[in-house]
Amino acid sequence: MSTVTEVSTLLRLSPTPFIFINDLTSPRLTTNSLINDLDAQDVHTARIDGVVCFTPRLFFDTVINALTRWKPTWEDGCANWSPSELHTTKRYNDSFDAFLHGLKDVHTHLTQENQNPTKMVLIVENPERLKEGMPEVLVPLTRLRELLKLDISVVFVSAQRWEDIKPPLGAALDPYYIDLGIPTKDAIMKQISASFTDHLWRIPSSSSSPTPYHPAFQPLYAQYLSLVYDICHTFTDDPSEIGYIAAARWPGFVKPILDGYSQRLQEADPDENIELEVPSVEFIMRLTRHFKPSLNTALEQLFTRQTNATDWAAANEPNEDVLDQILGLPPSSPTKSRHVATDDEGMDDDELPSLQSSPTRPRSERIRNLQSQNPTFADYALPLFSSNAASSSTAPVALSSALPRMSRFVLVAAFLASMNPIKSDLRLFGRGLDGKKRRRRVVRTKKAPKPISGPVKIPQRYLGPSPFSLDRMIAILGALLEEHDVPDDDEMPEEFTIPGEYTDMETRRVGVYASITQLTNMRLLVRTTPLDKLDGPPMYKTGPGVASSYEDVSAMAKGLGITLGDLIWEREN
Amino acid sequence: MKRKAGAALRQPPAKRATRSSAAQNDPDPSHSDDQLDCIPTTRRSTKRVQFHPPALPSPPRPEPSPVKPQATIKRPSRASPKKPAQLETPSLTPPPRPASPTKKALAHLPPHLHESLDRQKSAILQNLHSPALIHDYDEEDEEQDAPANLLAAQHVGDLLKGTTERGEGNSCLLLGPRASGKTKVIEQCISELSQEPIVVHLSGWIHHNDRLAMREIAYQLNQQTSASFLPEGLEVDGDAENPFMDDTVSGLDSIPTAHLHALISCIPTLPRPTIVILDGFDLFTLHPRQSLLYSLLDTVQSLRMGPGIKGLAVVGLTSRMDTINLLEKRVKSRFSGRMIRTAPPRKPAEWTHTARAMLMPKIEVDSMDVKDEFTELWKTRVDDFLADPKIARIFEETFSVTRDLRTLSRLLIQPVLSLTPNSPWLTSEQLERSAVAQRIRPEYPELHKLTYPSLCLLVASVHAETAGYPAVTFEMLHEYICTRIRTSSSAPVQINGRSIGMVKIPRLVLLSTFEKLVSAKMFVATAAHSLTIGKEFVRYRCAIHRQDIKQAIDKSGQTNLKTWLNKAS
Repeated sequence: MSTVTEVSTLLRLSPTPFIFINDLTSPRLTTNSLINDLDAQDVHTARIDGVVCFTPRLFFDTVINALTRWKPTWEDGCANWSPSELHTTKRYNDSFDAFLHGLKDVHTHLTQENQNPTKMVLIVENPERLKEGMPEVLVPLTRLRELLKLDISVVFVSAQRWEDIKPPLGAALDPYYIDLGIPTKDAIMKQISASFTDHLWRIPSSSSSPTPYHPAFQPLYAQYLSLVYDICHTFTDDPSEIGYIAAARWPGFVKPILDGYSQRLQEADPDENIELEVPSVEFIMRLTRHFKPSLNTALEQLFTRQTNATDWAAANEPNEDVLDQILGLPPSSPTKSRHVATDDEGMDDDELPSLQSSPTRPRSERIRNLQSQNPTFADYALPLFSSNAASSSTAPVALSSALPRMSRFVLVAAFLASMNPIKSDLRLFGRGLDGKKRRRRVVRTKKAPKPISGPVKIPQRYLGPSPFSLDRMIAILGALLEEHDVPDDDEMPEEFTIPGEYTDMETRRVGVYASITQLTNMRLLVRTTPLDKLDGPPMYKTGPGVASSYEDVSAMAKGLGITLGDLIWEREN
Repeated sequence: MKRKAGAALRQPPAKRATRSSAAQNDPDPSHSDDQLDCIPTTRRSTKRVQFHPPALPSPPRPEPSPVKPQATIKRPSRASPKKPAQLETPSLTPPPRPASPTKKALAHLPPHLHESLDRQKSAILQNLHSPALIHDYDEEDEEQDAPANLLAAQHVGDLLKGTTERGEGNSCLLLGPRASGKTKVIEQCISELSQEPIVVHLSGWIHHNDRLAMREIAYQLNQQTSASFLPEGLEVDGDAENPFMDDTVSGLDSIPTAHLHALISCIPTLPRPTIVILDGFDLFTLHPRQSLLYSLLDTVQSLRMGPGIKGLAVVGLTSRMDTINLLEKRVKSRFSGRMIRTAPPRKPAEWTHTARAMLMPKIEVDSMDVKDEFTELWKTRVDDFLADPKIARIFEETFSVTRDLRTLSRLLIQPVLSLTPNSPWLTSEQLERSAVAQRIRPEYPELHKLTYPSLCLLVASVHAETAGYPAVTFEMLHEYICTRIRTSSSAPVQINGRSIGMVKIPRLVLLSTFEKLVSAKMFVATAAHSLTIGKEFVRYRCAIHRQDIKQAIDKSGQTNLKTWLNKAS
C-alpha cells in the first residue's frame, strides 16, 4: 500500500498531472501530513476544502492566495494577491480563464522569487462537494497542467471513489489512483504521536509541578496509546478519533501518578530531591485495569461527539482516592467509585415541586401517587436536541420538564398515530358502550395463513413517521387520557354521567389545540398539509429528532404512566 | 502471437539451464547469487566461456531476442551480436542473467550505486508523462500503412504551412480517441513552422459560452501581439490596425454578442498568421446559434489574398466521431470538411517499445551521478523485465482494453516509485499490483478491513434487501443488528470464558459509523434530503454489491458475521 511519503516523493519527482487519493479513514489527517511533507520539500501547496470553497470565486481566490502565501488583511481592504502594487485592479476570480492567467502570474512571480523552477500542487479536500457545487470546474481542474503548460499538479483527497465523483462523458483525465487503505496499528500509533502529541513532550515542565506531558511519561504514553487503540479499534480506525479519545483520557490517566508524586514530595524533606519516575509494571497494570471501563465510555461519548474532550475530561477526572484504590483495593473491584464525579450532576430533586405546581398537573390522586412513588420517571429529562436517552445527564435542555403535561400526552398520541397503522387503532384503543376497555384479542383461526405476497412488513417505527389526520390523533389522545389520566370517581364533576364524557370534553378544549400549535412551532410535530388548505382535516407527523425516537418517547410516556411498548403495533399477526 | 507463445514455452528450460550452469560454474559456495546478479566479474565470465559449451550444448539462452522479435529489429546492434562478443571479449560481457524475477528482488545494490539509482528513478518519473511514442513502422514493409499519427502530422503540417506561408484560410478537425495524440500532433506541427504564428487556444471545457471564448481570444491576441511579446524584427504597424490592442479585457464586456462576428473578421488583419485551436470542439457546437464557430469559419472561408491580410487556420480537436453532424447547416457549409484522424498505437509491441523508452530515459551526460556501470546493469534489467512473460501478458491485456499511453505510464509509476537500494530492480509482482490498482480497479479494495460496526451495517443491509427492502433507514439497520446481537448472545456457550455472541455496539457509535459510510458513498441516499425527516429515517441504498460484501466478510474472518450473512438467502 502506498504511503503519504510515497505520494509526496511522486509529486516532487514526477509531473503527474492529477492524483486521486482514496482514504477511507481520515482524509483530513492525510491532507495535513501530505502538506507538511511537501512544504518541507519546497513545493508550493494550496489546500482547498470543498466545503469552504463553495463557489468558483472562493475557490480561485483561495488557490491564488495560498500559493503565494498571501493573507488578505482588513487594513488594505482585504485585497487578494496581485503581482505588483500597480495592478491591484487585476482580478483572477472572474472566470476560469482569469484563474488560469492568475496561476501563470503566480508562477512567474514565484520563479522570480525563488530563482529556480517552481512546483505547484493543489490539494483538494472533499472534492465531491465541488461536483455538487460547481461541476463545470472539475474537468478543467483535472487538466490544469495541460491548460497551463506549467509544472502544476492537482491532488484530490476523498473518502469517496473517483468513480463517484467523475464527471460524465470521460472528459476528465484519468487520475493516478492511490488507495491509502486502512492503516495498521503501528501506523496509527505513529500518526497519532506525530500529529498530536510530539510537540507536547518538548514543552518544558518544572519538576516541582510536573504536567501530564512530562518527558518521563513518554514511554508510558506509548503503552497507554496501545491500550486505547486496543479498546477503540473495534469501532473506529480513524487516527484522529483515537487520538482525540487518548488526549481526553491521558491527564486523568497519569493523575494518580502525579498525586503519588506530590504526596511523596510533601512527606519528604524539602531539600531532598525526588525525581518523577515511571512507576512499576504492576502499578501500571492496576492503573490500566482501573481506567479501562472509562475508555469505553469515552469512546461512546467522544467518538459520537456527545460532548467535547475538555468537558469530558473534567467530568471524568479521577478524584483523590483513586490512588488509594489502585494501591489498596484488590484488583477485582477497582472501578467502584468511578462515577462519583458524574453522579451528582444528574437529576435534582428541586425539579419536582415545579413540576407539581404546573397548571396541568395530574388530576387524579392515583397518578399523583404513582409519580411520587417513582420520582425517577416523573422528572425524566428529555433532551431537546439529542435522540439518546442514555446521555440525558449531559444534555442541556430537559424537554419533558419544560413541556406541559398535556403536551406530553399529545406527543405520545402523535407518536402512536404516526407509527401505528390505522386499522390497529380499534384493536388497541377500542371501548364498548359501557365504557369498559375491551381489548379485542386476535382470533386465531385454524385456517392456514394467507401466503405472504410482497415483502415482510416492517413496523412503521423503523421506516419513519407517517402522516396522520388531526382527528385521529385527538381520538387516540382521548383514549390515552381516559386510560391514564381520568379523575377518580369522587373528584369527577357531577354533570358528567356518561362514561368518557369528561375526557371527551377535555380533548376538545382550546388548550389542546394550542399545545398542538406550540409543538408544531417547536418542530416536534410537523404539519404536512399546507396551512391554506381548507378541505379535509389537517395532517401532521412527528418531527425529526426526539419526537420520532422510540426510546425518548417511551421514556417520556413512562413518566406519564403509559407503557409505550404495549401500544405499539409490532407487526402483522 | 504464436511466436510469443513459443517463446514463453521455451523460456523455462532456459532459466533452469542458466541456474544450473551458474551452480556448476561457481566452485566458491560463499559467492552468493546476489552478488552475481549485479557485479560483473571477469572471473565468472571467463569461466562461463570455458565451461559453457560442454555443459550446455543446446542453444536456448535467456536473451530477449526470441521473446521480443521487434527488439531485434529495433536494436540489432545490441541484441544479436551479443553471443560472439561474449566469446571474443569475455571481460566486457554483462554478467549472466538472473534466473528468475524473484531472485532479482533479493539483489542489493552496492552502496556506490545508490545515487545513480536515485537519479535514474527521478529521470524515469520525469520522463513517464511525456513519452515519445515509438512507432513500430518499417518503411520498407509495403503491406503496412504508416501510423495514423504520422499521416495526421503530415496533413496538419501541410495545412498550417499553407496558412502561415501562403496566407490561406484553412479549417480542419482532428479526430481521435482520448490520449491518441491530438494535442501532440498539433503542437508538433506548430513548432515545426518556419514562421511563428499567433496561436489561440480555446477549450470547450472552460469556454461554456461565446462571451467567455471571445474574452479569452482577445486576451490571448493581446498577449501575443503587443510589442513586448513580439520577437525582435516584427514590428506592429500601428495600433489602429489592431482592434484587440486597445481593448482591455474588461472593455470587452460591453460589446454585445452580435458584434462578435465583426471582431473575429478582423483577425486576418493582424500582423502574423493566426491559428485558432479549439479543444473539445464538440462542446462549441452546443453554444447558442454556434455563432463563434460561424464567425470563425466564415472568416476562414471568405479570406482573400491582399496586402496586410494574413492567413487564419481553425483546428478543432475532438474525440467525438459524429461532431460534423452537430454543426448547423450554415456552419457546416463554411467548414472545409477536412477530418484528420489520429489513432493510438496499433500493436502491443509498440507499447513495449514505448515502455522501454519510458524506462530508459536519456539522462544528460553532464550529470555525473549515473555511473556507466549502473546504466549497463539497468539496461539488462529493463530488458529482462520487459521480456518476462508475466509482464508481456499484463501489457497485452491492458492493450486490449485501452490503448491509452497514459495508462501505460500510470502502470509503470508504482514499480518505479518503489525502487530502493534494497530492491533496486523492477519486478513483475510490482507491476501486477499496480495493474490491479490502476487498470480495472476492484470496486472496493479495502472492504474487508472496515471496522466491525461498518461490516455489521453492510450485512444488515443485505438482510434488508433479502426481506424486500432495498432502501433502508438507519433505524431498520439498527433493529436488524440489535436483534442479531441479542440472539447471538442468548446461547449460553462460552469459549475461554468469553461469550461467543457478537460484540454490542452502542447506538450512537453505530450512527457515527453509518454516517461515515454515507460520506464514503457506500450508502447512497435515494431521495433528496428533507427538513421534515429525521436523519435516522432517511432512506439509503447500499451501493456495494451483495457479492462484494460476501467476499469481504469471508476475507475479514469474522465468523459471527459470516454465519449471520449466510442466513440471508
